[in-house]
Amino acid sequence: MTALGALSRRSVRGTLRDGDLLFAIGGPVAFFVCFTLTLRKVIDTGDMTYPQYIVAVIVVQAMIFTAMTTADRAARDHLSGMGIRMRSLPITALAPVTARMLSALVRAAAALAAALAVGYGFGFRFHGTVADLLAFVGIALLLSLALSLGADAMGSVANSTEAAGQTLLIPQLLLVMLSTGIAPAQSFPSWLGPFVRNQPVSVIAETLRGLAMGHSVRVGASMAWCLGLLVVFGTIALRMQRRAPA
Amino acid sequence: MTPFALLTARILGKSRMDLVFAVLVPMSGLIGLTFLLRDVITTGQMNYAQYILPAVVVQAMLFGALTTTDRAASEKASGLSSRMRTLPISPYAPLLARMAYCLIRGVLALTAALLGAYLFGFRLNSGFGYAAAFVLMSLTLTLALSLGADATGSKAGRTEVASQLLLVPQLLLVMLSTGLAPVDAFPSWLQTFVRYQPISQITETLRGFTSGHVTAGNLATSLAWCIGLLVVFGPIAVRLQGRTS
Repeated sequence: MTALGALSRRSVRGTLRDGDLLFAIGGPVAFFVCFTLTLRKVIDTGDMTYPQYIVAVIVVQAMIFTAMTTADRAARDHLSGMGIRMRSLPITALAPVTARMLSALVRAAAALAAALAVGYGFGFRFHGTVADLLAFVGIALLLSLALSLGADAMGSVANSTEAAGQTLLIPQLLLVMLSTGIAPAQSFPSWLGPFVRNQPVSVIAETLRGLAMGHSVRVGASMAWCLGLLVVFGTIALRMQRRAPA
Repeated sequence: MTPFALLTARILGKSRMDLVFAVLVPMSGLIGLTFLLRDVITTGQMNYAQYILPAVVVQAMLFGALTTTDRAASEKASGLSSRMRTLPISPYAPLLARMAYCLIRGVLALTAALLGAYLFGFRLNSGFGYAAAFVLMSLTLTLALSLGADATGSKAGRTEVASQLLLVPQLLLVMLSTGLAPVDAFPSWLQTFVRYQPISQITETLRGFTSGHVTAGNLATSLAWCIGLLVVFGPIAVRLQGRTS
């Protein structure tokens, strides 16, 4: 078995053992149920039902949570000295981070499936073509990969596992709440409108919502955000991985 | 310096980042929820910041409990708990130190939530007695939840699993409560649960303290929840602390 195979298996097993996969599934289900039951009577989404409207942001949030777990995993590897031990072995420096990314994608896929399944139970329907579905899944997983690389880099320099995951909590909280994912832009104060409309969570949520309805909405902008984050965070994560231990 | 003071100082020294989050989480929650919901949820005469503050406070206390779970689990996993038992100190000193830290964290979170809400128009017009009751109930809740979380962490002994166990129920209880929206915003079949679950009862009481109108029944229910949780979780946490490995 290759080093990457062995490390990936270790990472995925850890995900199963430590309840991360359960959390990846339970998180989006809980958020979907909470937001739908609390807000569907008070937020006006026009002709679209609220479950149809909100699935997109639940998916985006699930991808962010995947990244938060990745930060925690990377911090644990870093603090336990695993990273240093790996550097002493005759394997590529990228194997540990690649293994963690594969594990993150497994969690992301499970979270995505859970979000769509719970949405379906509440009346969400995918009206797009197979190509739209593939684009929907592709953008979600690309976002997850990009954020997980950034989170991995953050976890690799963290001095505690708690700090690693918590650092992402506040930007996540603000970006999800102040987005068109939960409510249309007109629900927010007018001076906040430009930020709400153009921040990444809104852009990607609108694209995913459009794809679910069979339309192409701001696909270019979403891809630019995802690929931009992927390039920036990917470069940082790889540089962190190659850096000699202190 | 006593063992208790030393252990508390040790936790404070190691948890500077957590104290920063104790301030930032309620503030960002308040900002996000206020901008998102103040124009869509009808709260009658009360402005939305005034309405939502108790829910933000309770959420901050619950979030603090999650970090307590992690702390207790990591102390057990690292062997610190076992080492403490070999020293000539009270077996309860580490637990007391963790609880003292939780109260310090709770005070910080409460202060941050009040300051944040003040900027959005919240005012505490009910006088000193009600204000003191607001603080006291918030911190009693923090202590009760922290004892339960500490017991969970000590029992789990694995930092990865510990706090995740509590996150989903906490989320469901806060969001499906009258903390964020009045009961009639929810589907009719869910309204009975929403009205009587503990977070709703406690947020209603805290809201009453801020306005100066608290119904006796609601106050009694909230006190019963807070003291009940304290009575249940306290002995469990103490028993786990006193138990030899």
